[in-house]
Amino acid sequence: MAASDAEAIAIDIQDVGRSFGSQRVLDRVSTRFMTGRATFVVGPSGCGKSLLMKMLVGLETPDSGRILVFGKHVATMNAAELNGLRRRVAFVPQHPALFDSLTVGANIALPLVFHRIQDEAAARSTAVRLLSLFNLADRADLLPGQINQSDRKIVSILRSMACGPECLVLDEPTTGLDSPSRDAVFSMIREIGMVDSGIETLIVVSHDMQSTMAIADRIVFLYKGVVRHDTSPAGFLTATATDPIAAQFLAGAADGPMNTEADEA
Amino acid sequence: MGLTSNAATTVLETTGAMAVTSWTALTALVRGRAGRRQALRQIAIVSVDSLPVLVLISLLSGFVMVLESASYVESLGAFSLMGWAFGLVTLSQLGPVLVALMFAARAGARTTAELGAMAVTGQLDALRLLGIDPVGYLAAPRFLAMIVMLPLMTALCDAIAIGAGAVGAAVVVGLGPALFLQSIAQGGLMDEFLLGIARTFLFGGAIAAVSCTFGFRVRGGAAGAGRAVNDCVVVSALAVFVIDLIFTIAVL
Amino acid sequence: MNRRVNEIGLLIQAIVAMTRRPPPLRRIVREVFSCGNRSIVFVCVTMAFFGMILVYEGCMQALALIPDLSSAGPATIRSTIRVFGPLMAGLMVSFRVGAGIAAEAGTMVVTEQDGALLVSGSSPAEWLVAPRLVACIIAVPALTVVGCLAGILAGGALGVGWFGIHPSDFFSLSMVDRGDAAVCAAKSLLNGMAIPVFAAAAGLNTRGGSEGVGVAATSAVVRSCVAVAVIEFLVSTVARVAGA
Repeated sequence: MAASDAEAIAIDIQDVGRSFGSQRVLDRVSTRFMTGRATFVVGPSGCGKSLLMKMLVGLETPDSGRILVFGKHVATMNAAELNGLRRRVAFVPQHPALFDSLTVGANIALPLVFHRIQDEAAARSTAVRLLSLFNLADRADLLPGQINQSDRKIVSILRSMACGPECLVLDEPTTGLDSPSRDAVFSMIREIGMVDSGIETLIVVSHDMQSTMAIADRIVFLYKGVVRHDTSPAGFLTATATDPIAAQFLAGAADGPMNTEADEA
Repeated sequence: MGLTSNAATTVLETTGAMAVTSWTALTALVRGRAGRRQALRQIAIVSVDSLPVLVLISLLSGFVMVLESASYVESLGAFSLMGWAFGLVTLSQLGPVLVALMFAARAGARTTAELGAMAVTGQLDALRLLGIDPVGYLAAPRFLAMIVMLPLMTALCDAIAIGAGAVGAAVVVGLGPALFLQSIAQGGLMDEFLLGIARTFLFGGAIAAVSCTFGFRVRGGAAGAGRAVNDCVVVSALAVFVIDLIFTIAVL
Repeated sequence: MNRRVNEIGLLIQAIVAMTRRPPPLRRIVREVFSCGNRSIVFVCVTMAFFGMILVYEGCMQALALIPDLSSAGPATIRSTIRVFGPLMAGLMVSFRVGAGIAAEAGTMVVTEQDGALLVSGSSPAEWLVAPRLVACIIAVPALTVVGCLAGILAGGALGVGWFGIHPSDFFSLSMVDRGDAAVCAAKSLLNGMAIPVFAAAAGLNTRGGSEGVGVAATSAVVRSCVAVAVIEFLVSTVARVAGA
């Protein structure tokens, strides 16, 4: 992310806990996401990453603790406030579906037109501008079925960026993609901070450590519902020397002290 | 007992869901939140989709009505009343009900299938995350299209059935088309025609409510979508008959 | 199977398969139960409403002309038996079971079970259509009779209770003759043949994976409804020519 001169707290997570039955999925998680940073939330499947992200935009609520987004308590927001929040903090779920009856351009323009932020012509040029930031302008008039996997994923991210959010939350953006598509999506994510996209804060949930180490400004490593490390990529690398679990996760090794159970995805 | 209360719960729950969908869609329409282009597109889809089958059914039912009344008319010698009786049955009940049933089977089923496919592929969730209410965005234009087009198509089908009846009367009992049509025109059937059309606004709204609600609620892949389509046509048919009886008793 | 399945061809195939190897009785009973059981409440409720609508409209119109409702019952009974009973029951059975038959046939096509059937010496016509054909030929006429009864009884209840028609005036078969019964029987038998064949054909013509199954299910309902209307027309024409 482009270093911002006035770094501020975008999202403040304070002592958040959540249980499903007897299972404690999140246990007193505290961390802060700063503006102008790309923070990657990593950890093995089932560690509560996705759950925590859904809480940021009010799709899930914590049992205990609170989440402040731009200083406002998410759990106490009413429907209108939540809609306003989701305008500022765009959440892209694991499998964001494109509208298959609309062209790629119309998919991106839809939220702008529906919320009457722009008229159709202006929304269309916004869509083309966003597409051209990532060299996809020639896809604008194609249907989602006519473009490849990685382009579909990128278009779904661009659609979430259409209304000009300040913060972008990507939940496992490369789930279900093959290796070349994964690379394409990660290089797009890297560019979000470099091009004029308007995104100030980027939060990415991932378990792909290679791209995480390359792109992240900061890494939050969640393990068994608690924040085990909250540091820079260099700091994480240092931590692996003393933490065998982090080391195993970074190496992506199947055997080690960390017993990954049933795969979440 | 358990079965009855289960069924009652399902009926209440479904009716409630349809009421909520209708209210949300209609308020979105009143506030002008439904995109004009979306609505026009739905109107085009609904008409192109249903028209062939509606025309065919109107022609056939027109002929059948003449065939079945022919012996009665001949035995009474009531040739001058044939057109009137035909017009009465067609305009007041048979036209609106048959058209609505076939409209439900065609446009209603299509709507459920379409929205169901969007539900199972996650497109509805994608809309919600963009702050777009699927009911306002997807259901409202469909409500508008069905409420506007069903009456228009009923009027058209009435005319087609009467045309078929005139031709049929000429062939079957040798009654001149002019006499047949005159008997309809002078029969004072304007009220029947207007009341017949009036109820189709309600039919259109009901079919839209049923088809959208069942489409939005689809879970469980293609099999779930198939079940929803089936439920949609069945519940639409029930709704048409129930509304028709209440309407008939209320206005006559 | 890339060939388009045609309804008449499918019907002939099913009949040929049936004469060669009749479907097992247990399967037929199961299909009769599934078609009849799924449809009977629905057919009765819709026919009851339609009967009441007919009687109410008919009586109100008659009262506007002549204060004599003595022919309301017999006329309702006759038109229900000849026209509205077979037509509405046929449409309602199409609504209730058409989509299901097509979905099952379509799923077989999509998962390529139809090819497996051919390899094993059977065919979709034998496995899918023949038992349902027999079942619907039994169930649809039965449902039509029950539906006519429901319509006439509900209409009669309204005529007697609301308009004060004497029950013996309303429930009179004075206008019904053997020809009317024959017309009703012919229409409902043919409906029973047409509905499973048209629905199964729509399913067997499924194209394009599981999404195609949904398309096939919706077109099955419309196609079998049109078949019912065409049968209505054809039988009425034959009856007119034969003077029944």
